[in-house]
Amino acid sequence: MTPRLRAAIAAGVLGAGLGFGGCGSTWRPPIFLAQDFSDGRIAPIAILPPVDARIDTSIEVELDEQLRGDAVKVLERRGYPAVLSAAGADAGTVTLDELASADAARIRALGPPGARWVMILGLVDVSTALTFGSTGNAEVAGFLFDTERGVLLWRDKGVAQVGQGGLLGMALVGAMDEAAIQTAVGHLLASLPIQAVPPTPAAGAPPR
Amino acid sequence: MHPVRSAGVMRHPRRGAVAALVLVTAVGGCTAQPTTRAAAAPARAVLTPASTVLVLRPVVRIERLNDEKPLTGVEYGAEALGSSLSTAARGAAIASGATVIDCATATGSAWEPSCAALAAQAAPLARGVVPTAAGGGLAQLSTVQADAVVLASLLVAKVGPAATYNSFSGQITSDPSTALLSAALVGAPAGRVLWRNDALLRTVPEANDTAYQESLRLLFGGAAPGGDR
Repeated sequence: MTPRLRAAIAAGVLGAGLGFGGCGSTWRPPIFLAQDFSDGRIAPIAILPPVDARIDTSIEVELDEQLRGDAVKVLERRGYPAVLSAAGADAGTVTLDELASADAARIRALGPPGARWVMILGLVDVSTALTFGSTGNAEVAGFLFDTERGVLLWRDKGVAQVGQGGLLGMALVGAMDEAAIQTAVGHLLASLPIQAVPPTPAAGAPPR
Repeated sequence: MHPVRSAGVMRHPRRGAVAALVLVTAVGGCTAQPTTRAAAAPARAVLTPASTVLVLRPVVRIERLNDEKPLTGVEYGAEALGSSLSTAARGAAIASGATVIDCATATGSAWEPSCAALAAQAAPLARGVVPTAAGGGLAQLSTVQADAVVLASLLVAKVGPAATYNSFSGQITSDPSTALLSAALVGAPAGRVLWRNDALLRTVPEANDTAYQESLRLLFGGAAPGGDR
């Protein structure tokens, strides 16, 4: 059984998953949201390679697949077209602390040239525990920048606690980390205001 | 030990007893030994007896895990936690043979302006981030003692939701609370980070907890061979 399949089963058992955090949950205020966030349409968002900000790296994580892959799906459900993007000049060296306090010059240098809206996700922590059942906890952080203006638009964190008691839960211990990360990404992006998708002109309609 | 928190959805007395057993086991499984960065060297490795170290007052932040809302420090013994952190930081500097200036007792001395100027920057400095606003304080420090080094330390305790047990679905969760300790040595006046380390503890500790003391030892002693193990 592949890790993704295990995680999918775990997500099904736990009632967790992208749908809950990314689409069905009600909006909650993020840690930071720029006042002029909704002034214009934000699209497309370039998602840069994620930051592994963990102290405890004992759990192997496919960071790119788990954070960025899930984020694209959730963002699109919330009305934000998103693309995976190559890193900018400071790939692999930027930290979440630096992102949280980045000045305009630093923000403008993020991401590849031409990408205006840049999102960076980071895994802060993930852990699992095997008891009479098993549990998983994860904490992720996210930033959305407008590199043209050099400003932070949105910052938040997503926290997830998942777990299942009994023998079933014990059997799922290997998938708890992935289920927790997946749920945390959903919770994280649930604080992005839902963006209306612009109406597409009907076929045959005269151009305005 | 821990602040009393609601256990969530337990209702039935007998199921509650089973749940309590599960929860105790679950929470017990999460209060593991602290973790530090694998390659971290001890703080003393970058100091010499010729060094002068300005030990800033540690910053202790107790916040809610979900949204970083600050919580009342008194409830979590923030002062005692900070005091232990301060003692450990000072001890690490003394162990290197360096001249140690403790900002907690530097009132009225030539070091006081530097301590005051850098106090507000202690948190980012401890994380190895040297903000532009720290430039003045570092410059001020180097006028008192050229090549002086600042030792900054930080404790961020993130208090998470309590562990839960749902007797109907069988779902359980464990307490995700953590305490992150960070420390860094920053050289004046350039603001170069000479050393930094973090230690993670999967609980909100009390000052006299063995695990907290072990975290402090790991933080300043490092995990590499030759540390204070």
